[in-house]
Amino acid sequence: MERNKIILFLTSLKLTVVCLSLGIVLVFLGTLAQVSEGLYIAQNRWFRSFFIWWGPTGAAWQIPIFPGGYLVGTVLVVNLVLTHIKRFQLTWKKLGIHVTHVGIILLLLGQLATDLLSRETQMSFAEGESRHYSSSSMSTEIAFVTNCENPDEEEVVAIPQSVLAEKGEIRHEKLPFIVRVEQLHINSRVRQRAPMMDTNPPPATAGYGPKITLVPVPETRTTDERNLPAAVLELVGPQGSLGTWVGQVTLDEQEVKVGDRSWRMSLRFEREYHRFSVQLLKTTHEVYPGTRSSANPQGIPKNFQSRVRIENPKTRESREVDIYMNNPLRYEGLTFYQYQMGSDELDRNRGTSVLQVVRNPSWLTPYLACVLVGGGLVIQFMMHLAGFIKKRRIA
Amino acid sequence: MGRRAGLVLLLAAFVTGCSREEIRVYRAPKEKTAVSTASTHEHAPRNFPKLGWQLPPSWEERGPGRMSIASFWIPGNEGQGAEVSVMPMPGESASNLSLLVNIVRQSSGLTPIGDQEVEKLAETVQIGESSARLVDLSGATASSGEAQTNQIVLAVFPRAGTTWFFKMAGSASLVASQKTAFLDFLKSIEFHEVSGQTEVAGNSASGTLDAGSSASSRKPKWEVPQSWQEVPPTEFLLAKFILSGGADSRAEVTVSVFGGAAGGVAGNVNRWRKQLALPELSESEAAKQVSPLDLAEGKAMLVDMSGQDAKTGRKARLVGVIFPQGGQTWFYKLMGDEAVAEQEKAAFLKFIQTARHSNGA
Repeated sequence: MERNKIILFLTSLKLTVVCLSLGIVLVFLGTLAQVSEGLYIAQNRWFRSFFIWWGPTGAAWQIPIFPGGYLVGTVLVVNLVLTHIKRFQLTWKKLGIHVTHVGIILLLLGQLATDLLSRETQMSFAEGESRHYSSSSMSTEIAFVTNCENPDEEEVVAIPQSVLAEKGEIRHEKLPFIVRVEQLHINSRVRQRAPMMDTNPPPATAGYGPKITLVPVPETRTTDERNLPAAVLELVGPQGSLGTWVGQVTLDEQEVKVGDRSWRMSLRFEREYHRFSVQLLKTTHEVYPGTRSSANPQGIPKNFQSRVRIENPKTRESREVDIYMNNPLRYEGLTFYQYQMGSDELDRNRGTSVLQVVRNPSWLTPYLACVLVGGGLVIQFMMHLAGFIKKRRIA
Repeated sequence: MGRRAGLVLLLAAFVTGCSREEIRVYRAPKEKTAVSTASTHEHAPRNFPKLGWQLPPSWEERGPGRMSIASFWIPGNEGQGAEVSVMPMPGESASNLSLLVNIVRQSSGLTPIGDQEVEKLAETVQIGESSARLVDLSGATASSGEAQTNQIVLAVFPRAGTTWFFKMAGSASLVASQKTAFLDFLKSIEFHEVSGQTEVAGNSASGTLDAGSSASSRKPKWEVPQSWQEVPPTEFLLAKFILSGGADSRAEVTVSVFGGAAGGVAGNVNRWRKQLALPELSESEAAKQVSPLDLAEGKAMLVDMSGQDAKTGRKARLVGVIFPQGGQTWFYKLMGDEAVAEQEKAAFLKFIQTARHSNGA
């Protein structure tokens, strides 16, 4: 009896309508929330969650106030699958409906897979430069880089920010020192110490530490600004402390010497290395004629285009490709979109370009789902139309 | 039922737990400063020649830096030392030795000096087989009565569309004792033209200027008042605006940025006082001219002075803001006719408030 009630609830059409309505409200509220919370935080809070939690400012407790994207999506998929199984009839008459439902389920599962598995990074370079890697625009890492036996390569030990955030001591067999996290700031500014202004002690004792001032600033939530995380670390070698070091994304690498080996330490945006290199050959930045003014010296952009050369030593491939709006490059499971464009400050004639690099293993699912839904609807309508015409002829 | 619960838990763990990150260890290709030789280029990046040299004893090679394609460290006593750097700059603007010398002096905490003083300090030296100008800045610093702790020796060499700077800076005694070695180093310099990829290896170096330096000196985002007219900035300026006050009265706003403390507060107050034909002040007196200014990104310093424009002799007012941020110092200057400056001061300060200097934006 109890079981029948649950099945009735999970397969009811009312549940479908409620889930779709909640979905509409969720998208509306989540979109509004992006104004105050910023794009990434709002996406995580409203769509990548089972519940939206709320609590008074400063309170240690929170209560769920609305179902999150994962909950609404999961219930909708369960509802759709169970309803389909319950009312499934193996007949040609229902073929269109079956195909349409499979398409919708694929669309929902595909979006979940995209959400969980896709990864966005950026590749930025100036004309003439080559990149083997792309960098995250959000996540940072502390990287220790040292030479290895192959003179063309270097060994990297990268500690992600989430591990640093746990604070405490970090040990790794590849590192000849212990990393103690003393401070971690989500957003910060560094500047050279000014004699009249900086009377506070420097943030660290080694590397750039004594020469700079580190100013923690509030986390930014707008999409046109970036947080610049910083960390103060104490490195402890076999012979004792190697001093405290400060890492921040705008600071260059700093050399840490342990015995006869040296490591280059930096806090940088997380890198993803590729098996191929991309070289920026030429940038084309066109604006609509007559749109440059003193208020908008840049003008209104018409076309951002990057000509790049892909070099893949494994496949011995070397070819030139144009990347521009609506014409991304798909290569090795990655999609390269044209993102930003500018010019080198030291040489204004030298163009710079930023490509958005997206790894999305389930990128085909929305296309496939749309084909299935469209095909299913066409089949269903055509069957009804055929039946209707047949009936009219008989009459 | 238990199996179903397990499945749900597994799904929940998959959804919530797969974001756990681990320390990664991997091999990455060494980064090279690649330069394109592609003929499709309209604006091929500058490809500097490869340099060769004889390294003097006790000098340590440091590799390229932000602005330099090669740098060296000369260790001294008690942790002191001197740094030698080789910096190429597009264009042969070195003909204006006075301007360049003063830029370097400001970025190293020294006050500006006049053309004649620069000429007195300059001497001719040999770089490879060519002659170049070398300026020993210690003389000018000593004559100004300031305590001499640091010294800079700068050789400027225009060659084939590029100006080469060879700078030795560090503790005064060490720089003085190493000057002969520095001159020998300059004599040993060889330029080898190259094309294609460049690399830094052994006792030679070549390459392009590090792209990181462009990011750190990027023009900030700001909201420019509608009545201001932006004009192309002259060399060493980041932006320039003309503010017209009607008739022939006008003022201009300039924005520049330099690495480090760029001469310090007193040095820059006195530089501006010189532009207003005002007498130089001591460090403590100069500090009194400065009032604090809160910007969205930190604390800045405001200077407001009136005098005579040293170039035109007309009455002028200068409102300047010094803002140290991100290892650099930003200079905003409003200067011109007193009436225009008075009228535009509020808009000028509002303009600075809107500027976002952070590098990552």
